[in-house]
Amino acid sequence: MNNDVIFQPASLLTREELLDHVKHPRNRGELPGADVVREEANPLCGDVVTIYAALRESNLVSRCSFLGSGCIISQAAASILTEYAGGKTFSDIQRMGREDMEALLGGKVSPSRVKCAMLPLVALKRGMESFGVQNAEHPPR
Amino acid sequence: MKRAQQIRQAVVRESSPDDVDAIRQQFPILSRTMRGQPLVYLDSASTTQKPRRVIDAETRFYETQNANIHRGVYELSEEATRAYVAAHEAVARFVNAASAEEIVFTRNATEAINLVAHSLADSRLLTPDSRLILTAMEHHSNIVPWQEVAQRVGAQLQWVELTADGNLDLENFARTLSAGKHRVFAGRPTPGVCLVAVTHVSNVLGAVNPIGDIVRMAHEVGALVLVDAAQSVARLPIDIRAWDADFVAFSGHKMYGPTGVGVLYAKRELLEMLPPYIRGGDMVKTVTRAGATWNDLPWKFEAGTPNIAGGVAFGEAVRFLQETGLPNVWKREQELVAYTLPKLLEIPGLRVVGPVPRPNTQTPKRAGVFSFTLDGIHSHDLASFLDEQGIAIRGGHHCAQPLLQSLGLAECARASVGVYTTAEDIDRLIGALKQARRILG
Repeated sequence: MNNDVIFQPASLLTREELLDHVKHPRNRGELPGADVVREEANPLCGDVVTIYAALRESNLVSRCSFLGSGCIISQAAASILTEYAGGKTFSDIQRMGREDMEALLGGKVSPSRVKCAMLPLVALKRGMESFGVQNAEHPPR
Repeated sequence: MKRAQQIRQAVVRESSPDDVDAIRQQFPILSRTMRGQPLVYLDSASTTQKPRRVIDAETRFYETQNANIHRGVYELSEEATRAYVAAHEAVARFVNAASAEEIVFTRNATEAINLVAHSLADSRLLTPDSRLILTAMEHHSNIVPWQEVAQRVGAQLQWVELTADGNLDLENFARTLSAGKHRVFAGRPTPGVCLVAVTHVSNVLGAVNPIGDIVRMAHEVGALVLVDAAQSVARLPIDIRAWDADFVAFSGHKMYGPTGVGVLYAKRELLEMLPPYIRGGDMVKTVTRAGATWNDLPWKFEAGTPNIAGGVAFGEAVRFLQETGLPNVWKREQELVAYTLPKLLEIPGLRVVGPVPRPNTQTPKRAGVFSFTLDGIHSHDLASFLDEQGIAIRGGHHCAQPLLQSLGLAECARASVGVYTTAEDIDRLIGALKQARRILG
């Protein structure tokens, strides 16, 4: 059998934009003076993402960055989300779900990979939530 | 490359492809396509596919013999009982147990190990003086039950390390055995007994442990040995009496049988002295308001209505393996190992996890379970990429997190063969891995 059967990459995994985010991640690194620092992990696959966010008026994301390691879906999702989150409010972020992450990634995610796609969003949501709780005098609304 | 071609020719010559074709034709699932291509199933270490005769045996039982066992005095129940007992007898012959009374059907290997762990603890044979010796290459199913029991009785857990090439370090094992306290027993275990829990074939490394030697060394210091044979029992011939193992656990679904049936083998005197694990119907002789007496072996350990149809179908799977012949299965697996390893190692950036036998040496052998990392590509990405081409491999930690931690890995990919695996399957794997490296790496 020919080892190099022509294979047309049609999957989410091999979308060029996605691979570009993995090979050239945006906003990768710690964010000095971040208000939100939140790490989330998928113990099953070993994916780890730490989201950093600087907030304005306690509920508007001004800048966002990430650090992490793991599969393509989780790391690309983190890179894309940090670009998207700038200028979004607490409620914008809280409203986001699986479909929004799939829209950002540019395709459907199979059930076994949903956790990977959601990991950075979960980190950002939970990070902003606990920031809001800690700063109850300026509730993020 | 030339050598790979020679081996390929040898694979084709020595076990004629007609044999493999004849085997493949017995597995209905292999005729389906996956994502528009013929399915390449390389996850038999997780669970094997099922031949038609096993699927038919389960259906036939329900269609013609279904009744509860050990209950009715009517003919149908007698027939069902005979079929279920015959499955125990087939297993006993298959692994050369002294008698079918030493073969307990469980849900799977995990439940078999839990049975031993809990019954040993309940028997008070395990005490704070006891040591439970595990190896660094155990599956979670042969770790977690012992951690719980160790905590419960206050026994000490000890670990046997690996050699640099991914085999069990037998010198380390000998030192571990002799280092601590132990109670020597004359024929019968006594409180404070030491237990060694060891896998026969690692589900990650493919390493094959010398169980006969391990049992002999353990018995010299009066320790009991439990062997996890889940990964080996359908790959190479096993002779439990030659091993002299005290406990052996395995699962039917990794033996071309149905899910939901596993086996605990234990020496008769141990099954006699251990208390039951689960209590209820069918495991008792008599019950009064004051208490109960236990049924004969092995039924003392099979409480409640078991998976009768699954057990009968499992017996058919064992007959399938016996007819195929484990020496043939192992010989063909060795040919596939010799064919696959050089091709994997040819891929730049690919690192094989586990022993890589040097060409033209006889020992140590390794099983057709190939774990590897490729150029930092996450194994789930690799598995997804291969899945796009109809190739099923596994990614992740393979239920052996302590092993992966000791190897400095969080996850790795794993391709594993079964009786139906062909050189063409391996070719498609290798081709897809090369593409994955180009596109994802």
